[in-house]
Amino acid sequence: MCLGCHERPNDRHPVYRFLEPRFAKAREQIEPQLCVSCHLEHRGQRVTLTDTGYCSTCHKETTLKRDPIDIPHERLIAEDRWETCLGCHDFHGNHLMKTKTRVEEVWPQVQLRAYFNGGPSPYPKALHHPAKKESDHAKRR
Amino acid sequence: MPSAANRSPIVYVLILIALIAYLFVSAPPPLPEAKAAGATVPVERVFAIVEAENDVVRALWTQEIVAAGKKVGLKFDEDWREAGVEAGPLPALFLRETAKSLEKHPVQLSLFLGSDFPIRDANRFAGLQMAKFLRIKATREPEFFFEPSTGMHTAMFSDTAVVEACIKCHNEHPQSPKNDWRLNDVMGATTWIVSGIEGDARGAHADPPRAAPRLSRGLQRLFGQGKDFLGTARRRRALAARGLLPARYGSLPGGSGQTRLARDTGRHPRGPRTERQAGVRRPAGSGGADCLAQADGLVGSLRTMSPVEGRNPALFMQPRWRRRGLRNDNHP
Repeated sequence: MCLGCHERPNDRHPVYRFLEPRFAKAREQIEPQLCVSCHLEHRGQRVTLTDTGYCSTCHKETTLKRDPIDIPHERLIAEDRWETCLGCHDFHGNHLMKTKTRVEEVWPQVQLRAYFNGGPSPYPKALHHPAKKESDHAKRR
Repeated sequence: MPSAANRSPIVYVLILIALIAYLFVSAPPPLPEAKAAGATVPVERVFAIVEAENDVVRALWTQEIVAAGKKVGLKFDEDWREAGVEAGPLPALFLRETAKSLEKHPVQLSLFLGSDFPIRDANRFAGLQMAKFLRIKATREPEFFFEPSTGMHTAMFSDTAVVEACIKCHNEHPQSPKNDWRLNDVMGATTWIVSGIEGDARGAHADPPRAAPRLSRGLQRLFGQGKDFLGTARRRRALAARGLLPARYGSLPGGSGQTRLARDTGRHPRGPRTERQAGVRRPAGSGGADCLAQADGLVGSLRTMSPVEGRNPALFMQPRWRRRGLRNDNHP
């Protein structure tokens, strides 16, 4: 139902992806296979997760052979700096933006938490695929 | 003696009776619909069929679209979805697009591609999948299992390096963790999961040639194709080669009656349907790819691509978003 309006062909983390057997731990911890595990925009809260470092669920082993940032991802992971992930990347990859290359420039966690709770977005406003309007959805029904 | 005028209706009636009798006697036996309606297909066979289908389509994309397109300057890139990149998807990413299309169908059939040495770390197998994959690497046989955490039937099939381009790309990619891939190496595996079906892992079921066409209608909707699943010679050959259909099915001629007529006579009832029938001759080896250079984008290219085995690939290769009149930002 959600994807009727929010489907994006360039989604980096589409919900169905987490049905693959190897994501059993992620399914157990944050249920990423369901939109409503994190999103309740239509009921007043943007993202219900309280931890902005949820990337740790799957990316503890992530390595990059050629790392483009000044502090390598491997070091950030080793130091458990998971709060920095969303400071550069948006989970679904729908914002039109250039990924930062300096860790000191990342958006601070306070700003990200505020965004989760419905505050202003630190990410650029321009989107690859804007959601369909609710009025359009109502017309189809 | 009846006159000629009175005799003709009698003659017509006699002819009609003779015709009815002939049709009655020569009618083929009724199709065993009732038997087929109760038929079931083992879940392993379902997986094997969709894997075979995926193999054929992916090979077509790799050889007929990517290889031919590159020869005339078309670009295929891993970042093809990025704004400003004018390129088509590489074969591995084409599979991902296939997987996305599958997710739009009410039948929950999901497809994934992974490896023990993937370019993207996110595609690395772990846990049970890694264990199954290591067995696949050793035996090259598919693995079928039930995944309790998802409650879904699961299958994994080897993904082998079949063309030089696969290993060249992976060996030279800056993020690749392995740079000594060779032809025929098992580079990864496809994983299929399905739910909502009455899969019977014990086998011993209906005659597959009868059951498969019924299954094919679901697959046809699933893949959004205009042709019956078993309706092309290429598919039948692929299925027969994998032992999924009796060998006799693999040797049946392809195409409809009209297509066969066109093939045999060079004429189609409604005029030439393909460039081949129209007598268009292209330079040897071009494979019709020169059309690609004239097109204003990848999708346009697909539409003008010359026929493969007498069929226009655009009939079944056209992306679903295009058929539905949707927009793709990469190819406005």
